[in-house]
Amino acid sequence: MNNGYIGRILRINLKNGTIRKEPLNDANASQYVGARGLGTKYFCDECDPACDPLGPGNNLVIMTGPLTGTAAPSSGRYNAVAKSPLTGTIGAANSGGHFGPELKFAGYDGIIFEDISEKPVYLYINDDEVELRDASHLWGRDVFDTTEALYEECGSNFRVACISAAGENGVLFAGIMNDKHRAAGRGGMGAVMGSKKLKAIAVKGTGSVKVARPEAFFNEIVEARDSLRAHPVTGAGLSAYGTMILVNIVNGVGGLPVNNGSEGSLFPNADEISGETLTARHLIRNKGCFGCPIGCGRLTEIKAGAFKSKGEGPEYEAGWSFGADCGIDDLGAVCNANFLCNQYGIDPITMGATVACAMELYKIGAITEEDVGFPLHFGDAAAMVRATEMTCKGEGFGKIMGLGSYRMAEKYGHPELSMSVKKQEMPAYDGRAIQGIGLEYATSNRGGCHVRGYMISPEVLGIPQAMDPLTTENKPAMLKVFQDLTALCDASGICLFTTFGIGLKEIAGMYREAVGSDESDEEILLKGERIWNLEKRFNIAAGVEKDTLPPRLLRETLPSGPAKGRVNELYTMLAEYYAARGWTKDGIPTDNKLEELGIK
Amino acid sequence: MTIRFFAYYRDPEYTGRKEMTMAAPHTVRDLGDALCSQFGSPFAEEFFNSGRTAPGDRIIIMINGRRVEFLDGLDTLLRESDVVQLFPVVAGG
Amino acid sequence: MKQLLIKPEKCIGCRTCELMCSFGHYNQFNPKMANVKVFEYEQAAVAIPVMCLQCEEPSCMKVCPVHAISRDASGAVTINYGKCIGCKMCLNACPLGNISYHPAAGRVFKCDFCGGEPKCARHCPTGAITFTDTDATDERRQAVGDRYRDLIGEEAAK
Repeated sequence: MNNGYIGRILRINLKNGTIRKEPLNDANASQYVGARGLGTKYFCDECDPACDPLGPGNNLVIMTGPLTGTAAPSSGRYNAVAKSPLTGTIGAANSGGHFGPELKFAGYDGIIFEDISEKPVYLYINDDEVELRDASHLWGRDVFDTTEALYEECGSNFRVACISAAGENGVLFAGIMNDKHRAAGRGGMGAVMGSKKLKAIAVKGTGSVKVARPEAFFNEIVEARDSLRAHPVTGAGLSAYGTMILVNIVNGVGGLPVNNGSEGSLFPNADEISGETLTARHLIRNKGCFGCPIGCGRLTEIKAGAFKSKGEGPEYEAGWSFGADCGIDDLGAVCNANFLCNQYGIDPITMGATVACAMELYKIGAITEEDVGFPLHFGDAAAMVRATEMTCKGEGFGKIMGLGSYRMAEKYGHPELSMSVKKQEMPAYDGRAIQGIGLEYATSNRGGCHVRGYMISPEVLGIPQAMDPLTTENKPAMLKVFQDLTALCDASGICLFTTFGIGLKEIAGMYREAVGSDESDEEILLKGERIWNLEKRFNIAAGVEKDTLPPRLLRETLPSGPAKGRVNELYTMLAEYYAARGWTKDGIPTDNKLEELGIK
Repeated sequence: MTIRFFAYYRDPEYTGRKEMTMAAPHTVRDLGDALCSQFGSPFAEEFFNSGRTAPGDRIIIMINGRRVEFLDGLDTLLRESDVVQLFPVVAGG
Repeated sequence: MKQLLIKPEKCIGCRTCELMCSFGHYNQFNPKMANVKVFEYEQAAVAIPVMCLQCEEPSCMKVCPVHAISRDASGAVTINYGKCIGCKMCLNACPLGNISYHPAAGRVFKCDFCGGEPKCARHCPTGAITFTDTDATDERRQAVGDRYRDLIGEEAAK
């Protein structure tokens, strides 16, 4: 088709081994855009919210957006959508690299996997040739090894998304890894894939992505790309230092949680684990995902010592989770743990935060050396790496950590020490020092998460304008807009990082010319709001717990830094947020709101 | 007073420093004048906006972890015990 | 005379060049229809964009049985599709593999400098591909000079 979409999806029933090519649902595509939005719509129409996330009733939907595979900036994205085994919410995890575009070049907007295979399989896609192939020989192998084996088997010009033994064995925060190092990381989409006995997808395509109004589209993308290159953040800072550049500035506002948040959020040795230090000591080269003018990815190496290793990353969140959150200032250990997460395909945010939680359980005596197998003190870099490796490999205490911090802490009688929302760990910003991000964590449709309305932009970075992190005024209304815009951006198929340099005007402009629509910016943003409400409606039907934060953020004041003495003022903001959303005071989308958005 | 520089402000062409100390100038504006004259271009183009009424578009100036926009802007008074942090606008996540 | 220069040390492997090239020629995004291809070498940690080098004595031009290939004013060796019969001899003759065929294009294709303003260079986000005067290679030559300066300068300072 000539509208950004290919117009066709694959439907694979893993139990029967049937493969169907079916036309894309155009009406839904127009309402829910693509990727996160359209994937969620397909999922919600076909799956029972009460389904067992690791059972046959949970579909796994892989979906691209209309901008995926075009030269729109950072257009390498696809989303994996399923019910999350970690949170029980809708799970939608987004990844870059080159896999998503290749799927479109092969002639498919997405893939829906139903049910469970009897034996391990992988999906082979070479343009029109689509087969389920035996994957017994790949079962149990790690991400790098599996990917290499499939390059050998299918051809080195194939793109591979896969899981490791962590996903096979139900580590609840296992992700789907594509192009080896890129992750649809959060919420356990890899565990869902493993439960289906689906080891990998290997794809190669020779087709095209075409847009509705080529000339106008080209003008839009050139303008967007040039804006990103001229912007000091996307054109200079992010490219030069990667996402780890945030360590010092977030620590600067006293918002970098230390020792599972138990020691406040000011880390004395932050510079040791910063983007500046990573760049100076360990950077080999920058890497860009498909079509990306930013190039925040980095290939790094620890050349010597106990943590000698090489790989991609770490990103800021992993830098924090394995660093400050565990009281560790050894960048070598942080990198090593992060590389392990890539190799075994698990989410480094939840992993590091779970180690940090275990360290606090150890500190208060709720777990002992006998439970873990070795001492697990805050600040012990070798113990942190070992705990990570055990979880990756499903060994000993690693099996318990593989359930995430909430289930682990609950098992030992201290669920309050899990720094999670809806059982998913919050990332690297303290909601006590940065009020709006606390509201974002509490209301995120996939549990504790920073990329569902990144309030750090206005509250710390001053983008698009500076808001005081210590106050609550205007945060709910701003968050609503951010959440809707993020949903639109994710659904379109481009990377959220573009929004540091471009906004609704540019995203809506590219969308319009790609799909051939004459809708206004506001009408297009409304699609983001529609996606948000659909996700929320699913969560309510699935019986997900109400929006709140861990007691630590609501009751334990920060001991030091610019936000000393503060907690998160969630309940000052929440009512206003629900009102801005047009929901009931308990946070339920009203029938009126759903009807207004055309959600059926 | 301690001043810390981050990201590319540490590069030789900007300041070549991670950290420095100086006697506290009266205000943030005075601090900006002192640093701009010490380091010259290109750092000197960063500190102030064109009318010298606020920080430049590409800099984040924090005093003890608070952006000067939420204090008294360039008129914020400085004390010897203050820690000043200077970041170019950055992002990540 | 200008030429396409690549600086692999700047390439981040994003393949924007492939997209811009295919769109510039066919109004569609398809890396397989691009005149440029980026090779990613994982172990060596480099990515290298490769395109036609516009040889001084092009084999493609020599081998073409209908004289459809010639050099244009910009210095690019281009294919006249009015004359081309699609025999693909040029594709076989190019020792560097820089001529391709794709069924959707229905013809052989190669880099033509986009008529004088190559889109790969215009849109490369990092400057890994530039379209510059041939004397721009002096920049690299100077890097060699700079190394000698550093060495000898140090020696002289002792």
